[in-house]
Amino acid sequence: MQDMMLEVKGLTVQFRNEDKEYSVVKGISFHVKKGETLGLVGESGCGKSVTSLSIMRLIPTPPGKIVSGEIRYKGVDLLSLKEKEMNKIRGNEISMIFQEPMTSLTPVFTIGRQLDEVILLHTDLTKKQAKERSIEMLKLVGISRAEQIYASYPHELSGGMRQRVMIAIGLACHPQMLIADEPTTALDVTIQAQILDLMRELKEKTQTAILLVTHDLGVVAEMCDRVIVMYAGEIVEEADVDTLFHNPKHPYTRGLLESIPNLEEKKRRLFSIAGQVPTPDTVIPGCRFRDRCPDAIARCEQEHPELLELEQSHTCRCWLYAE
Amino acid sequence: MTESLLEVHNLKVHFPVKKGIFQRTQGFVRAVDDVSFEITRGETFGLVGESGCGKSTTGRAVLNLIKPTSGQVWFGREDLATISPPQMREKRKDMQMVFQDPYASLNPRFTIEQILEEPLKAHQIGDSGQRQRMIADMMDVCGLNRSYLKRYAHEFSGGQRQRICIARALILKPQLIVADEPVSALDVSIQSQILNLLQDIQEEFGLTYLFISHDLAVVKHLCNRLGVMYLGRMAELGTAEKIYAKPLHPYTQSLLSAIPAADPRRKKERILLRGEVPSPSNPPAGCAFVTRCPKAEAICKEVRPTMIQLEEDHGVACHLYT
Ligand SMILES: Nc1ncnc2c1ncn2[C@@H]1O[C@H](COP(=O)(O)OP(=O)(O)OP(=O)(O)O)[C@@H](O)[C@H]1O
Ligand SMILES: Nc1ncnc2c1ncn2[C@@H]1O[C@H](COP(=O)(O)OP(=O)(O)OP(=O)(O)O)[C@@H](O)[C@H]1O
Ligand SMILES: [Mg+2]
Ligand SMILES: [Mg+2]
Repeated sequence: MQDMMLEVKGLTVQFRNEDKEYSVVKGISFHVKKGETLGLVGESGCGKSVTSLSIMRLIPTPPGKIVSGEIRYKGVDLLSLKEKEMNKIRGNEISMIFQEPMTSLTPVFTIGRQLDEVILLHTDLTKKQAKERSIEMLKLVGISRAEQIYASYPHELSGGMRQRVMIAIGLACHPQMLIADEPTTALDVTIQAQILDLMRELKEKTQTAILLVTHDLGVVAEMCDRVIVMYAGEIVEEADVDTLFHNPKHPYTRGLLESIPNLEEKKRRLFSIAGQVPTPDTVIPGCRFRDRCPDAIARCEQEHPELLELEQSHTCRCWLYAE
Repeated sequence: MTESLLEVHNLKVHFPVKKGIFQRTQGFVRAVDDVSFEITRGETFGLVGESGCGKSTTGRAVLNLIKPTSGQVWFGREDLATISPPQMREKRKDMQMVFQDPYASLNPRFTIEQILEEPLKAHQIGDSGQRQRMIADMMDVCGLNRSYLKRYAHEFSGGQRQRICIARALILKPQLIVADEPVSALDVSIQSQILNLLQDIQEEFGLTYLFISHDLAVVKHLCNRLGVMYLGRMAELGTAEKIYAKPLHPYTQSLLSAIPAADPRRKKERILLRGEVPSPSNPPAGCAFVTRCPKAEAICKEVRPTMIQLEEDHGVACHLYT
């Protein structure tokens, strides 16, 4: 297909802890087309960042390892590329906004140096031009006194400012595929709106495909065309954004939507899904959500549910919907 | 009579801006610039505002983690600026912080057990057996699987790390917790567990919270009173009920209008902020918001507005109301 940007098939990622090996991402498949924004949501620890890092081939190995699956970018299998070829794609064609700004920014270098570096690596700009571009990028993400911040160190910035520097780095080279891992969690809503507009503009102008990892369902509703929901390393539901919010099927998705604090009504307690996620190394024969599911039936205990196609492009991993 | 646990008077925190090889100070970032508020014992006070407006700096100054440039912080009956270091060390037990960045605030080479035991050891609480029990209890309370005890912080996802941070702050049963974006790294289902947890322990132990957050729905749910900051200054101060029902400051109005709705069918009418984003090292002479305010008048450029009490428990620093 012409407009296919990213295709992930059967991706399985394992981590090793002392003597145990366990999968944290278990055979997930999805795709993102040109100009499309795919949302990725799910319980903290379910494997969203590991999935994103796998696409960039940045899983720390050891302890991590991609054990099976394919990752195709414009038809090219990224997992078979040499490191040198991957380096050309990374930060240029595919770029990523990392979840942890403090550990991704080097504390001993100025913000400017770190931004310049990315720009110089992937463009033909001179040093002077790169600096201009860096400052322009900082202004674009709403940072005031951009010249001063250019010369500052990461610890002199607020949390949200550091996050915006990560965004500036991610967008500096007009990527064709953008992976944004919780890009706006540290931002207030007005600056968040500004950043989302920036991403939308990128998508409209250059047909950038976006994989947006976030737990802010308001951001998902506003930005995404399609959404996948992960739970304990698996995809449990996939649907277009309207269906996901108005006709969610998986009990986990429903619980998630119900947990959103509501601005209109004041409740004393918020709804929350009972229980805890199983640790990645527990062996569960049936459905991994079973112990927390209000609707579990006998079958959920023994058999692992497959992804069922409920309607066109709406899939769900739940026995409640099996014939 | 309600008693205030914390009083902040005219707090200023200015950071030097250095330049050149001699690192000469060429100006100051006015991160916090004359902020006053108080928090009653047992209440939750929210602090919201634009990224970089000085919320975390205020929180750190309240806990005496950075020295204020001027102003006072009263905790109970003591002015934290004047008490002796040993007294301060004792006070630390009563004031804990949960930080914004769960990645940077945990030592990756410590196991969860070591992380949670450290504050107990530092303050000589319990014997080894008692400490083990307290740690196990706190892990349950914070939704951390007990089998994680011997794992290292770097093995955890962002959300799980934030639970560890919360457990660490709670384990000393402090009086005041400054929580800087404690739930922003969590997905909503865990977020609601943690918020319920914060409420439960507040009731149980009479805890007081200074709650810094960008999530305005969470703030509304949790906070009794709140302050809205802009560029190092307090723009609006009052009960959550009043501010959400009738925001007075034009900045608060635009902030509330920008909350995204968790429904793709609802398109909200946003008040967009235009105009130059001001710099805290060279703030406007008058009102800090003047460069972007849709309702600005001539006086706003020249005179810095002071906080005026329009009603009981609702004040605003804006010339529109004078
Ligand atoms: N370096 C590592 N070593 C061992 N385990 C790891 C490592 N990195 C991640 N994991 C494990 O992989 C699982 C998935 O983690 P991941 O960071 O992808 O979660 P996430 O979905 O991004 O969560 P969050 O919403 O909290 O960011 C977690 O159980 C985590 O403990
Ligand atoms: N150590 C420091 N040295 C110099 N400037 C600093 C330092 N710490 C903070 N600042 C500056 O002070 C201002 C306020 O920062 P602060 O971290 O308090 O903001 P914040 O309101 O918490 O923002 P966010 O919502 O993004 O976390 C920012 O302009 C920041 O760059
Ligand atoms: Mg993550
Ligand atoms: Mg902050």
